[in-house]
Amino acid sequence: MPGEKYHQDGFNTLTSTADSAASLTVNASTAHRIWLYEINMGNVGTPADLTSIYLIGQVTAPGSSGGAITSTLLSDAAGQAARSVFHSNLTSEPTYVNTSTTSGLAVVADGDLLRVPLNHRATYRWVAPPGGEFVAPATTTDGFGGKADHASATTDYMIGFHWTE
Amino acid sequence: MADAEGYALITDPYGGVKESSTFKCVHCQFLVHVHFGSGIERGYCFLCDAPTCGKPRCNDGCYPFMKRIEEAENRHRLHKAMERGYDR
Repeated sequence: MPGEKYHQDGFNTLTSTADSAASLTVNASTAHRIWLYEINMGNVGTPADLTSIYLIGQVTAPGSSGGAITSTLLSDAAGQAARSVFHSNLTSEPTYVNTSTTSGLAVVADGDLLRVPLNHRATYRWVAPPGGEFVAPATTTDGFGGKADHASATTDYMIGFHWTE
Repeated sequence: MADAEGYALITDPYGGVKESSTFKCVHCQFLVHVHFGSGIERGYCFLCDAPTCGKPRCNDGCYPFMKRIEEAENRHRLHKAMERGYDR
């Protein structure tokens, strides 16, 4: 497995149609695998006692935002900067393998990696053991995306990724 | 559970903490939280010697997700070679 570890968080505002908070994809010109080993999710601000489904899915294109965010290098400070592309607060959606998410997050389909119904006042953390990470192929712009929705809530939510590449 | 891999933690609104073991489907990577006694039927691939998520497609045959990833990468390399007009 490759060596350097990275981290970044994505944010977005809950809307009735799922709007992604984060996308993490392979560099378009230098293909490399991504090994996603930790995910953190939750709402921020003053969330009400409501529940949303949070979905982490495979994507084949990163979507777009105000601009890709530089990811934090967690290991050796002299290590290589992340080649992966990370977007937060996406303005156009990533291309999810699970295309049924466009009709609602409650519809399960191939391409789902993680689907959790979570109270807005709760937090979620998942950690993979070595060798148990989610893997994205070294294929241009493939990777992961995370999204949630709610019919009425308008609080912000966060999805954080830790990965190696 | 012997094959549980990962660890998930949920803090609920009332201060409680719920922990669960997780495993990843060996055929599609879907993450399953292990809840003993839930009654949910999953699957097991004897060729991979690992559990599956229980979706019919994942239970019907053996198609490990790493094989899919390698196939995707091979297609990508072929596509790039065709774009360049020669094969290295």
